[in-house]
Amino acid sequence: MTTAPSEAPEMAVPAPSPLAAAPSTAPLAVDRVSRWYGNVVAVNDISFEIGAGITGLLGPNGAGKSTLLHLLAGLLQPSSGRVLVEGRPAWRQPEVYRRLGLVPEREAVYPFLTGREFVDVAARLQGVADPRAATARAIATVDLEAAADRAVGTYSKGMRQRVKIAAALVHEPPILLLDEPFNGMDPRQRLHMMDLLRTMAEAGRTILFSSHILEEVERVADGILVIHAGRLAASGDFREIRRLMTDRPHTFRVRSSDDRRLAASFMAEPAVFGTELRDDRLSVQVSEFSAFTRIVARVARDAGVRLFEVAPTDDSLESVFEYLVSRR
Amino acid sequence: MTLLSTTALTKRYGASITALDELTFELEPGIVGLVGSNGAGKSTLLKILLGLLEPTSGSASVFDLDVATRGIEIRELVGYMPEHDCLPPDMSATDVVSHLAQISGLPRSAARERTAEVLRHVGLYEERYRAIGGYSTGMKQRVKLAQALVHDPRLLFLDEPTNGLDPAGRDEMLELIRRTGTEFGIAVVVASHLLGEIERVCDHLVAIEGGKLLRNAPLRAFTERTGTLAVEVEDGRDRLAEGLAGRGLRVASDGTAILVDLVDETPFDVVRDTVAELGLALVRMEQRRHRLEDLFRDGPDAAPAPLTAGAPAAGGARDRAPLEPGR
Amino acid sequence: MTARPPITRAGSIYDLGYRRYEGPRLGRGHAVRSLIGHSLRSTYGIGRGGRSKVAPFVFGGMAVLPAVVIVGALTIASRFGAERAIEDMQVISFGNYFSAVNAIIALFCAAQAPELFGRDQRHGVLPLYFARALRRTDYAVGRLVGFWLGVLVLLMTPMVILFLGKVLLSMDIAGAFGANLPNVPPVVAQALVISTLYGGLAMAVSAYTLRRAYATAGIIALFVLPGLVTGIVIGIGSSGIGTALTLIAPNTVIDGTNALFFGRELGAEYFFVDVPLQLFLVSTIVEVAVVVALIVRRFARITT
Repeated sequence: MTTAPSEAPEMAVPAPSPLAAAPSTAPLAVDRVSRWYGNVVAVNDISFEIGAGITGLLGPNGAGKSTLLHLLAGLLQPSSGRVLVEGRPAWRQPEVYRRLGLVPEREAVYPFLTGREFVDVAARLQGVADPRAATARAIATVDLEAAADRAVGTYSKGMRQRVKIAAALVHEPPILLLDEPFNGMDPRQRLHMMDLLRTMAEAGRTILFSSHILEEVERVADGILVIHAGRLAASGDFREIRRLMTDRPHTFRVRSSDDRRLAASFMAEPAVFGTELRDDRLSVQVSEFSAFTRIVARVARDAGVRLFEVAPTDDSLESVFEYLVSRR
Repeated sequence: MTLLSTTALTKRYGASITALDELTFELEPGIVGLVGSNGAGKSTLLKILLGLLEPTSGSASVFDLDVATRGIEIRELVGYMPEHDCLPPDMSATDVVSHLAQISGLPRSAARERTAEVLRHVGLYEERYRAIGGYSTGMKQRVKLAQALVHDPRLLFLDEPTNGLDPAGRDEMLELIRRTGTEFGIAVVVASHLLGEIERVCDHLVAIEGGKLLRNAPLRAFTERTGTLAVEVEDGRDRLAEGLAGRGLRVASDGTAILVDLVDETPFDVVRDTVAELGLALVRMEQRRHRLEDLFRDGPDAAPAPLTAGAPAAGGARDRAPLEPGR
Repeated sequence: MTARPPITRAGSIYDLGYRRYEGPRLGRGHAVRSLIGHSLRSTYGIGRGGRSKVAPFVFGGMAVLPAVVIVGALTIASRFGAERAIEDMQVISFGNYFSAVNAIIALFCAAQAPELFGRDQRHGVLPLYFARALRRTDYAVGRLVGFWLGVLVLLMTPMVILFLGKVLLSMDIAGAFGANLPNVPPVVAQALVISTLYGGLAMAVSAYTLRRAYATAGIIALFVLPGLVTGIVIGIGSSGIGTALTLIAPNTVIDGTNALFFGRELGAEYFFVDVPLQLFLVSTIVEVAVVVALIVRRFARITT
């Protein structure tokens, strides 16, 4: 079998590319993308597709999240593979840039411009039909009207973030890429922004944002992408991902009217292989998630024990994430 | 003994920005979370307490020492971990911390010993001899914490200690802070935007909004159980809702879970029995707790949609006295 | 036969937990002394990595070099009994050494002063100092004194070498000692003048200018420009302004104090100056006082 000249010759076994047959029209599609700088491989053979809704991009520091976002925004060229935005390659395509809004983490904002001017410049650069109206709308959306006519240099960190978001929204792109967007925002602003993202997602926009604050991602995202050392470690709904971790036993915490009796009854069940009595609760280790959930109510009822609380202890995104980035 | 207190503390920057507005409150020792909304309130407050900034009016005291007149004594007892970058990149961690220890009054050899100890406590090992410029964010945050601890302060001010850290780093830093407050026996004030962290680590909360005091209360006051029981099953949610309503419970739904009003303890058994009878898989059964963020939500909490005809929505449950079942 | 110590079967776990510090806490004096020591070391790049040692040691070397060369020449000459002749040549002696290395001292200050104040400000280190029981004035003065000592070391080292060389290499050590001793007070006085004046001015510029390149350029300008302007002014024929400038510009002030301390006349280039030499000393004191006040003010007001 001869490899086509455009295929990278060093691939030993070219896996059948999911996008080779028909180019995907998903809002964001990444096909076997790698990006390296000399010997440093920032992104290593990543493939995924994202559609409307909110996806959280997670990973330890230095895992390649920012690089990936810049690749998706068309600001970096993949060393190999393809980055497709609505089916078209992203690299250096102005029409594609119109469909994207990027809120980068680091890039500074010119401190001498006012907030309004900064957003206005972005609007004009994007060729928006009525820049002033669009700017006003964008500024209202991020709740920055009061400070819009002050120089950005006087803004707090949270305000700078919001002005960057306004600039990314001003041309109403269907796809939003945000790199740690809530950095520096106080609790009220965070909640407001999360509500904003949800509203936009429900209206059909595709939103990808990277964050270290897992409890927020858990709240707001429909799915996640986990990057570790440049590779994609997992994707999808994190609860489903947890179910797939069959080599890791599930633990449940249970509070009842008689923990000891309940523990004894649980141990009689094949689904349970361990129970631990603590001061105020019972910890149950089960071999299979669903097997336990199917029997827990029945066992408690038959033992005559009142259940106050039943909850999986490591079902959180924190837990899932920790497991994903710690395994080899 | 009062840890710190302020009286009508006000700070204005120029004509337009009021960071603190007649702020008055008192704190006991513990691990205190400081949350600010809309403006520079929390950083400003910390700086005034440390004597780095002068208030426009009002007064404050730390350990019953007036900030305006006895700042030097206060600073001998306090350690500060600033939010922004503050470490010289061309010195090593040991050199910086040891130098600052001496500035804090420790004699040379004691400074070296304490530095070594404290760097071990914060988890810096061989790296401590390399120049700070090459450190990761996590390591730099640890050095910042170390220099705040090295002179054995009685009170620590930590400004956004998990800034820039990834989840693993945040976890470790929060654990370190908890240990500092509990094992090391040092009072801690943590200023943070992240309510989840404060819930995890602090036992007391001070919330400032628009420069004024919003709340000053123990954390459990904010995270009490509500009178709502949330039940999640793998499939058959509608059947469960019907079954529960059929047995006389008021139910609603929030999309993933069924919410049951708790008036007394009977619903627990009803839920258990209904789930068992219907052969459903019970994933979660948990009394909802208030969350800190409820403090910052605009307007009343949205009432979830009622599921059963004729049954009113279960949104009012929060106003009832919370049930604390079990022991 | 010695009894064996009992071997206990019990084990021990030693508490590695956090310990309180119960030791002495020295006061302000210790803090300021530590800061001075740290500043002195930083002036020479000690404790700050290899690159920061280049400039100070290069300039330091150049400042010391003439003294080393002279002593070396004297050593060789003394083998051939010609040290008298070398002495008589008086190319460089105590009286004019500093004038000869004037430029190098200025460059050293321009290069190193920004290291002390500029770095702390640029990297945001000040809150770590001010949140401790260290007054802002203490910080300003501590850094300044440390730098001043650094410049003093630079100035005195070649003098010590020269002195030891001249004394120890002569046939009559006691006599040479006596002969060279009168040089000591003027040398020390002049070193104090140069170190406080040059050091103070350089530190004042670096206290207000964060960016290293600008600070260095600013300091060099401060040393070079007045001389140029004086030259122009004299060329036009205004000796009053020229004299005033000469009394202010750092590099000319030290010429004045040098003449004062060594009991000489001002050089030929100062033909237009007709004031008592004591004025140069007064000028020095005034300028140093102003500079110190500026530095203290800067750090008393700076927001962290």
